[in-house]
Parts: sequence; structure tokens; C-alpha cells
Amino acid sequence: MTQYMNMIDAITGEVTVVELDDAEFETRNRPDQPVENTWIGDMKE
Amino acid sequence: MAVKTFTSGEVLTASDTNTYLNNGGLVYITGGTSSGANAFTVSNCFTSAYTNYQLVVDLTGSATSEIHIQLTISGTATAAGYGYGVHYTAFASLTDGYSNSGNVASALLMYCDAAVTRTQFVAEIYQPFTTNQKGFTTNGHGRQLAGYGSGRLASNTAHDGFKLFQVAAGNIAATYWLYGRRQA
Repeated sequence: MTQYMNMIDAITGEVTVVELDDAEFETRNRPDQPVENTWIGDMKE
Repeated sequence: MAVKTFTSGEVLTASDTNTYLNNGGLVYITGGTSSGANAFTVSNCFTSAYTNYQLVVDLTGSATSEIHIQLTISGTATAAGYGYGVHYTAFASLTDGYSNSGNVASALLMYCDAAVTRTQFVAEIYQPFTTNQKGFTTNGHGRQLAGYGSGRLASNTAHDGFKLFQVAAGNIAATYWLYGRRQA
């Protein structure tokens, strides 16, 4: 699924929609980043 | 001077109002909404006018995930050098836990879940536009838990914006308010 990002300029208020390329998205979700394995599953709500 | 002590009978002038009343401890810089996107970046919001900032966020996520922050330079996110430790306490049980990591691509601020109506938090952002190391503290709630913690970005380069995103694929709908901490 294609991911998007809204680029907002705080001065002009202009909003630009940018498609996130796979590399950028994967960088943020790389396996060595324990984003979802340190709490999901061991937490009882 | 940010504080003036008025005496009995003294006339409040336009200058007093503009100087002492309009400029509170937190000065609104910018705010807005973002929807239909996994991430949003706000550029040109950190300047030399303030050293430290407060970011208030109210969002709904589309997945059980984490909300992370990166600092940006001219719209480009710095994607290395972050470390964080965020503790959580679940509302409906005595379960506590934490998420932590060092030298990674972004810093965790809060947890979100599509099944829970809102994720709301306040994040302090320390010295983003300076040539010192940057820092974060966060306090809020999302999913079915309270979260609180801190993080840092090991960079001495000035950053003029920030980027928030849901780590899992999918979109967030967010409203944000950014304030500068008045210094004088």
C-alpha cells in the first residue's frame, strides 16, 4: 500500500502531499527498531 | 522582561497589553490538521526566536502502532541518532511496561490504536534549532494506556521542523498545536 506524507509549511500554510518511497518508509520500520515487539502481546488491557 | 508588577491605580496601556499580556509563557506558533496520510511534516516552525517548544497533538490512528517523531531540515527528516525510553501503564490492568531503543531512525512519542478513539499527548522539544543535542519528553495516552518518557536526537545541526508518523502502514488524522517557550 502506498504511503503518503503531508508537507506543511508553517509560514505559508501550504500543504503538499508527498508519496513516501519504499526506502524512506522501510528506514523508519527497519527490523532493528523494536517498534512493535517490546510491548504488543505482553500487555493485558 | 516578561513580568511586570502593576501598582494600585496604575493605568494599563496598550504597550503593557502587547508586551506583558499577549506574550504569555507559551507563545502560539502554528497549528493545523493532517489527514489521509501516514505522516506529516511541519517545516519552518523552529527558529532562533525560541529555544524550546511544546507540541500538543490529538490524533486517531488506523492501526495498533506507535507514533514517532523525527526532526527535519528543510523538509528532509534526519533518520538516525535517536534514542528513547517510554514507559506505559495500561488502564484496565496493572500491567506496566516500556519501549526503548538507542541510535535508531526515530523517537517514540506515544501509542495509538484504531480501536481507541483518540491519542493525545504533549511533547516538549528541546533546542531543535540550536547546535546542541536535541531532546524530547512526552506525556499522554493512547491505545488503552498512559505513556510517558523521553528521548534525544544526537545531532548538533539546527533543525527547522518536525515529522510525526504512524510506524505501521496506514493513515493518521491529527490536529496539532505548536508553542514556543518564551524566554524573556
